[in-house]
Amino acid sequence: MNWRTLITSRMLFWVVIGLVLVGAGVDVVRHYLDSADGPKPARSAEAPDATLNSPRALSAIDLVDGAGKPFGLASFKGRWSLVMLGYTHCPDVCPFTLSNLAAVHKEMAKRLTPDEMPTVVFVSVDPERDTVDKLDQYVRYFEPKFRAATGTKPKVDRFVAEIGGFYEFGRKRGEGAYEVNHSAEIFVIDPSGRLLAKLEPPLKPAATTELFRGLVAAYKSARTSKLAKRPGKDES
Amino acid sequence: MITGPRVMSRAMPNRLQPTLIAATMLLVALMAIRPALAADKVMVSDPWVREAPPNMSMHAAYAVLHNKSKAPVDLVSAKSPAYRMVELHLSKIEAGMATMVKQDQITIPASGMVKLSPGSFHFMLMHPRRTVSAGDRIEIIMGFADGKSQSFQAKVKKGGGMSDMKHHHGH
Repeated sequence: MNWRTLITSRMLFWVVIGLVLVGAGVDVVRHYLDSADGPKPARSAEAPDATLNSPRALSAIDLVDGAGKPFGLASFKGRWSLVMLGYTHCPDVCPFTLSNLAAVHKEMAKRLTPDEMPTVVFVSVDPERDTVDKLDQYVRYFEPKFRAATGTKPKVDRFVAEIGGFYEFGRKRGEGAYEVNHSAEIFVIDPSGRLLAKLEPPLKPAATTELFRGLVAAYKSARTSKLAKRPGKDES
Repeated sequence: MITGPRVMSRAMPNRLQPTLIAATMLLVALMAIRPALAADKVMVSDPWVREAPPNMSMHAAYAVLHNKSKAPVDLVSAKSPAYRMVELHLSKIEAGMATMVKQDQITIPASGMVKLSPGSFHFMLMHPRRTVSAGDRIEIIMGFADGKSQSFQAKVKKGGGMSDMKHHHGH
């Protein structure tokens, strides 16, 4: 082997090293520039907001629960309920909201008395795809105490109208897939079976619990004053 | 100056030469790999798949897509060996309404990023070929408008509410 070959391979070696170093340098600089305007923190969630209406008494409700048993007005009376509309073929918003509700539920369990604890009810507006047993399994995944309800389309429509909610089916796509646009609010129903408030997402555990405690306190004091007034009819 | 390397090379023992050639070849190989790595215009960070309740046929995958190039990049399709169908979707929670619309493309701005996250853009994973549960790794292959594709792995996670997402960003 002569020295020319040796020089060539030696020079090639250094040329290649040089190129690699320059390349790596460019990558490092680029990475630094990227990370400078890289991942930003998630948009800070706003505090939940209750749209307080004058309480609306609900009337005929004729749904079925996750066990296939009737779920009517009587199921709402005597307990607090948080109702959410949705459908199980919803991979993003519904599981996100149910996960947030599970966190709210956990926080409420720490701060509310058992009689103040609301029942979370997931009402499917897509009864064609959401059978009751499927629904039951679905909601209990997020929190074993959550309940599911649905019904035939006219009965679901009636319920949605009762609570002032909304839903609409999207266009059918390939393989029969379709989306359902629906109210994202959480409907608060008091133990007298009246729609009391709508909670706007996102739901933060501490803030939502605080807001809910306010609703419970207002409800209790209204009841107390009503009861207190009864014996003193002659005064008014 | 020119004589320098000659002197040095003459001084170098012949048995070093195979080592030198091997090192050169290794570096050339590295050079060949480097452009392939740099060709990934999009950097994927924080990928995850939301674990769904049992027997659900729809899952959602999220990630932050960073565009390292000086031109916008259009994500036009996605697929996964673990699912029969994958689509790009945009959810919105606005004025008390939750909506979801299939997207033909998601544009990642030049030198910018798009955050795929709950209540916003996401990969909609449909009809899993087998049970998908927390801890699994799902491969997602993104297709871009220029015909190129790029894949990444996303870990399936349980939970995925707001309070859990804080932990995602904490690591």
